[in-house]
Amino acid sequence: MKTTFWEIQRKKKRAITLLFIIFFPFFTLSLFGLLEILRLTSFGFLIRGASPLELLLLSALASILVYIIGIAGARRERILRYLEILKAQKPDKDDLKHKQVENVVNEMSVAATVSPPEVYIIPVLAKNAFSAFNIIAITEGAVSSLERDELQGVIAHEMAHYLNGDSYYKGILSTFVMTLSFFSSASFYLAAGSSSRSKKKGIGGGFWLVFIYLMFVEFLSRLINSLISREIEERADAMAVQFTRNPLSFASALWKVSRDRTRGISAFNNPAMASLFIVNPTIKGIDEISGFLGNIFSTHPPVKKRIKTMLELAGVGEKELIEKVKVSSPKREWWVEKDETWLGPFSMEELLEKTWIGEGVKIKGKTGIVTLKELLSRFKPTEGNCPRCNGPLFYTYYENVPILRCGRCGGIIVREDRVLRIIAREEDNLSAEEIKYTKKIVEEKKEKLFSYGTTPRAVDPTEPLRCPFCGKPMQRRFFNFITYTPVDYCPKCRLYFFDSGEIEMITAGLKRVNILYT
Amino acid sequence: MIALLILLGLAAIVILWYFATYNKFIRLRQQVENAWAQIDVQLKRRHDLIPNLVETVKGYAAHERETLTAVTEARAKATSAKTPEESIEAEGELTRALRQLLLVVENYPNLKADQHFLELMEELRNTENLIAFARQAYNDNVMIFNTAIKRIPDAIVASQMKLKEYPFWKIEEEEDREAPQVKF
Repeated sequence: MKTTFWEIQRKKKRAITLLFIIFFPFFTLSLFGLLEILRLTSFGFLIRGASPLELLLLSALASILVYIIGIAGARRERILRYLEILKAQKPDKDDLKHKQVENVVNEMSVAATVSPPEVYIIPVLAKNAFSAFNIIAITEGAVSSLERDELQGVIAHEMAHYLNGDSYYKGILSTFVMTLSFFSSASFYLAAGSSSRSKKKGIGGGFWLVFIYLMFVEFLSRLINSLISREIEERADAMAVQFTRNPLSFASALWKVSRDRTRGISAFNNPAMASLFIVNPTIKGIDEISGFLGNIFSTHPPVKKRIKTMLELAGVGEKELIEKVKVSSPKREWWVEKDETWLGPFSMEELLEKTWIGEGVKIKGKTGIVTLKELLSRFKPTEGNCPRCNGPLFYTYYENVPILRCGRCGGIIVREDRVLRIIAREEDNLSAEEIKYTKKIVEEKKEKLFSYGTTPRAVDPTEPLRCPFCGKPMQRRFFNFITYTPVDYCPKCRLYFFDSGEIEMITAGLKRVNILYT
Repeated sequence: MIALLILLGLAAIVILWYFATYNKFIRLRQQVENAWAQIDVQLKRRHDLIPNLVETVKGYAAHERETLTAVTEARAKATSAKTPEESIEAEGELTRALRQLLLVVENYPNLKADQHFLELMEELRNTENLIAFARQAYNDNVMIFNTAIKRIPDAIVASQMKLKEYPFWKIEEEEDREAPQVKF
């Protein structure tokens, strides 16, 4: 009979309970062993009078204490503080893609019959997600690159962690491991210290024995910890399938997320948090080794294995997966007449970027020829005027992010907290020539920069722009130091102004750093 | 004396087991009933969404009157249904009418470029998914409950509590579920 997700869940549950039951006496016994060995060292006088039974009791008490500390330490506030450091925010209501995330979370909580957890979106390009207590956090990169059904899979996996209370398990386990690791490093310093003094005072190398013993015990505890961690991940995978009934989508989500080499960024490099993420945020070669070494040290099962399980559940092969992850291009269904030929197809957004489209230019859609006026009537004009050319500003969307676009020069105004979303979502489909061109511009800018000075004004010497909303002069600054693109920023309204094409260049620079600088 | 202690110990274990099982059944039953209530909530949500959707589509595709009237009528029938059987039938009809509308909409690129319409579509999709997931959750919980009350020795407690099996929600149409062409 074929394995089902119910069966996987049952198996994993049994394994997790068993390993957890083993872990507690293991910890007690290792403490007991430690105390026994301590008799041989200069600390031995502390426990000279104690019988082995008393020592065992003491170890058990200490274990319970560590257990309680583990539970007390697993607190929501810590996760919230962590999210604050990452500048995570609740989903933006005006953003269709963020709305989708919220909707998917609601769907999954209905599928799991729990009340919906809190959602946070972390504004980084890396693709990852984590959950702790009733908080689910997902990165902008993951939100942007995953289709709706894939998003369901990822959220369902996090929902499973929430439902099982896995963050408590993980908190307790890591407290045990950290305690042993603290003891072993303490014993190392004691050993190193005492052996340098031993010639004078004659305290033997007893601490080296303690150190070697603790190294061994810590190794064992890490082994059990990562075993449990991986069982927990696999159970959450199986539960994700229970909620979505769509293993293929979850497989392709895993594939997309794991292929991203930037899934680890500096702020994520917190070992205590690593095991909470859907794919390990610190990329180590060891994660993908399925052999003995990988089994011992990795907190996550190899993605390959997880995908294989999903494909088995779906009853399909790798061919279907590859078919599924082929990125669907955005819908392009508009043609424009220029020099008596029809150019296109373009998407609506691309059409609005073409500043040469004037009143007389013919635009063709699926239903026939329309005029520019008809096309623009769809967008509400706004109060302000373009700071660059004083043209009218339209309220529109760029990759589902609300923006203001100038109807004349094509410049855009974006709220500071939304800029990254555009960059994350914009597909980088530049041709080789365009890359060459971008590269040339970057080179020129850098040259200018080094010969004329290092201010953004040196690169773009035009008059400072005035913010269309507060009227104050805007700051000119480099958006980043990859493409050296000078952009204008209003610190009061927290708005960026990008000239036409600038944001595309910044995107290309960020996503293709390696190509630009080789 | 020792025999008495053993007997007392056994009795304590049995009582503890009884309480634990009793509480487990209460929890499981609560889950089934929650899931059932969710289906109703989501169906209601869909009813509230439809007038808005029809208005938007009208603005772009006025001559699709037939499809639009079918949706409005199906909604009216669904909101006024009294018995569960009537309700299930009317909801099925509404699902079919909506699906037809979504097919028609495919022919209007203007409509698909409209952000307001895209938002509505996302809402509709969300609602359809919520209904489907609510039913799935109900069925899953019913399955867990029905298996649990038949398992020995827990079945003794179940018969004491006079628990009965819940019926599954049958999904009449195969296409009622969106994604899974997947066998389990």
